[in-house]
Amino acid sequence: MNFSYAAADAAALADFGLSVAPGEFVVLSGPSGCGKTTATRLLNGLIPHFHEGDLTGQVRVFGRDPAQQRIWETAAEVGSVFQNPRSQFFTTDPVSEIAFGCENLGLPAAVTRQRVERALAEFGLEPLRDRSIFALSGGEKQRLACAAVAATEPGLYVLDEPSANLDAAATERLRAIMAGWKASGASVVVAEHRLGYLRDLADRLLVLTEGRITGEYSGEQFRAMDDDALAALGLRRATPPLPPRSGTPAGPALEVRDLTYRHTSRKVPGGGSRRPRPALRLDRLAIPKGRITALQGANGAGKTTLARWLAGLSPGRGGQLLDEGRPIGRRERRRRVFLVLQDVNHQLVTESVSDEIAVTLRLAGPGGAVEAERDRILAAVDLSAYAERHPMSLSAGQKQRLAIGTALASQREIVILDEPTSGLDLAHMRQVAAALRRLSEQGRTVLVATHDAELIAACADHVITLDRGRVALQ
Amino acid sequence: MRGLTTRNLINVGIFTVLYFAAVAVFGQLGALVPILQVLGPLYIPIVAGIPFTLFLTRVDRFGMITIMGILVGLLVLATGQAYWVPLLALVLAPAADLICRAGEYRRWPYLVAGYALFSLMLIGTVVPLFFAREAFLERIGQRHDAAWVQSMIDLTPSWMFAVMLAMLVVGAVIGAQLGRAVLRKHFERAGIA
Amino acid sequence: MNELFRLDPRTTLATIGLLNVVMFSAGFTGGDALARLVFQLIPALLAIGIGRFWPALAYLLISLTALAGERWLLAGELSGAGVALAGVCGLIARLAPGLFLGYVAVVSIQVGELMAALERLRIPRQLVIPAAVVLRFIPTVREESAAVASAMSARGISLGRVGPLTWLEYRLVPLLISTVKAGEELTQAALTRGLGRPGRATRICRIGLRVPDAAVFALCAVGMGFWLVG
Repeated sequence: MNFSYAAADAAALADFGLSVAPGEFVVLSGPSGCGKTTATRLLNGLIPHFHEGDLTGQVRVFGRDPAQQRIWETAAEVGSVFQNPRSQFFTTDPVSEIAFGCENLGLPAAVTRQRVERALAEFGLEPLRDRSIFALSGGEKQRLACAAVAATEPGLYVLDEPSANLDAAATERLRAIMAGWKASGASVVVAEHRLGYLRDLADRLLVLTEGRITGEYSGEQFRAMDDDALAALGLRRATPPLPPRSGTPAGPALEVRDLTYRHTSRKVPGGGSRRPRPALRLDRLAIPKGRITALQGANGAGKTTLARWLAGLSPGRGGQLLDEGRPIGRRERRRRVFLVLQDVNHQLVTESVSDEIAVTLRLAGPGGAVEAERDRILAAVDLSAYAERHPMSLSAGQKQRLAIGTALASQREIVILDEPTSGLDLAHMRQVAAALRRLSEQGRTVLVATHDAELIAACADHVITLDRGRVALQ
Repeated sequence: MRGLTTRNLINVGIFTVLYFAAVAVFGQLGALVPILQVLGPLYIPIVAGIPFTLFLTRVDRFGMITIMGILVGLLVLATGQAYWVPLLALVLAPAADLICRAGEYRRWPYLVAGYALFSLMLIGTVVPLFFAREAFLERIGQRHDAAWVQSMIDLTPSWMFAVMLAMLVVGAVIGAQLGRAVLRKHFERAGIA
Repeated sequence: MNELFRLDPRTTLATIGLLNVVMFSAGFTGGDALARLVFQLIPALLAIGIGRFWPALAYLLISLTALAGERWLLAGELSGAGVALAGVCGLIARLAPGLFLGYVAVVSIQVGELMAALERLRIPRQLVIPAAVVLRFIPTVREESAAVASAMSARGISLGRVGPLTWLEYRLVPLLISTVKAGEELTQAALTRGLGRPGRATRICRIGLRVPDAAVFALCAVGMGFWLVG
């Protein structure tokens, strides 16, 4: 048995050819927009059944062409996992979700039930079976998506940046799941730019640039590459870099004292009335002023909660923020702290990139000529060429830089960013790091909540590690 | 209806929630500020015009508007505002769908007319007020003279009903224009319309 | 979750229908009043069933106060203000039960159950799929809306500073864009998992009429009985 395809899609993919052997594990990589996602869509039939376009050439999956058959026929043989854990579940409880694919394919109920039970056990989801999917963490949701796909027992798994929103622990579980698929004899095609976790699994690595295959490496060759070789190809490192120097920083600092924060149970939809442990319990945490501090830790360690508290968006029990010893109340924090949220899409509201900056400048009211200041900021975050574009038409990395631009425009001296590089490729990550340095050069105190070790290595002056709501290292 | 794809059906579901959310949230304002209660039939279709016009960019065949109307009706029923909206939806939504189809789901005057017709079903949410008034006055009337009851009826005249219908139509026409303006300003440039 | 009993979605849906009929058709006296009282209690019972004690209590407090207020005001001397207040109380007493039952339905019915229930009622898939998406997206729109609200607050954009029209634009546009994008992603995931294949899907979800369903139907029957007898 063998399947192969050869396709040419003028814009996104050109002269593209790939054949995957049964049981083979293929990694597609390359910078954003290189065509790796397009390639996965050819395999699972989303091109042309969802994304329309001009397709020439042909695709063969298990001897059939996904473009020529109905998409549900492809669904029986190809299982797909996507990037965003929040938007790929159709039902609201884990059991229905795992059963969903089997049910749609019309498998007998007894078979479906058996496969659901097996998937719950195999993927470690048994403890979550009665939870609402809305109450699961991103990593748990992604694991459920894998379980749901596996229940239909496809011969080919297609994954599109499945680790983009996961922390190290969840990524490791994903790796174990994919190793299981490989061991079971299924073929796996994964599009990624975070390569570390795929290193031991890959049988082949294809590097794409602007729709063309520009590099093909065997598993051995891939494992032999060092990080510099990967970087030369524009790819993310395979091994996380060591975090930079820690230790209590010298100089003026902001200090968080005695903060306890507990989510009300309503914050977790479907979480029931169990009283959860405090999301944060901090005795003392110091953020050096005018520098870039990274706040690292696994998902659920309290990074986002701390960021929101610092920005004055949520009240915390008894905590204090001291600016060189002087307490700053919640209302003052709202004036002095600018928070860039994890999902910047919610934060960009105007009709053009230049308006986004101009509106913020007018709200902040620093005086002076808004136009000149706006253009200066656009240049600082390297977006001058996109001034008239609609913010929502930008790439993820450009949106992050625009949000950093609004932070500059807000004139606030403390800027907090929540996971600014999730899902970004090497080039975009470096541009974000550069924009962050620009912030600190202008005297801003920057705090970045992130689990991107490369970003930390690229720009952080100081690192704080949170573990389950407590400071583990600073 | 048979020709509807899975993608069409999911779009109907999503825009039903968005349309209903606009109607429900801005309808709630009326409960807080009495003057808005009277103006509701005017401003609710204006705000709801934004999601509805965005929905229309995704409608390309008969059935989508009809199903959305039925589901909106059922949601109104599920929020305890009686059964007139779903009943009206059974007539008005297919009619709106047919008008939009006559305009091939592209020609603007047809879409505006379709939206106006679709919005008329919202009159069903105020029927309980009028119904309750009748029953209420009947109850009070047992202990008051006819003249007193008549004066109460005059305070909340039945021609308000006709005025509200007119407000819905005017609101829908404005809402469609507003929706198209937002479409051009944002959604088309953001690449989702 | 401290769930005491679980109803078949069909029971909840039927109760919604009956409750609306009674609330908006029954009058003030005799059997009608008793019928309204019975249907006023049912939503609280259902909420307790899914472990939402405090919301149930708050609902009972509000709606029963409104009902009692209406009766008491109408029994006494009628002044202009008294009549107006009685009218408001009466409206709350008629609207609150349906609204609260709708809330209970949305938080208790799972998408998988709804699909199984509707399919068993032979509802065509042209209605089942969008209805399921509605239930799936209500929490999503709420989440997105809260996220947009806190994003605006983080940027210092408030109604007072930008004016109502701009404020509406800043609130609605990001919400619509992100919800529509989430919808596109959901559609892709659903298509690659075989949704839309012709022929009946087999649902494994265990729904069926059991003792709690029978009890709720019996209560509804009592209420309807009062109303019909008058």
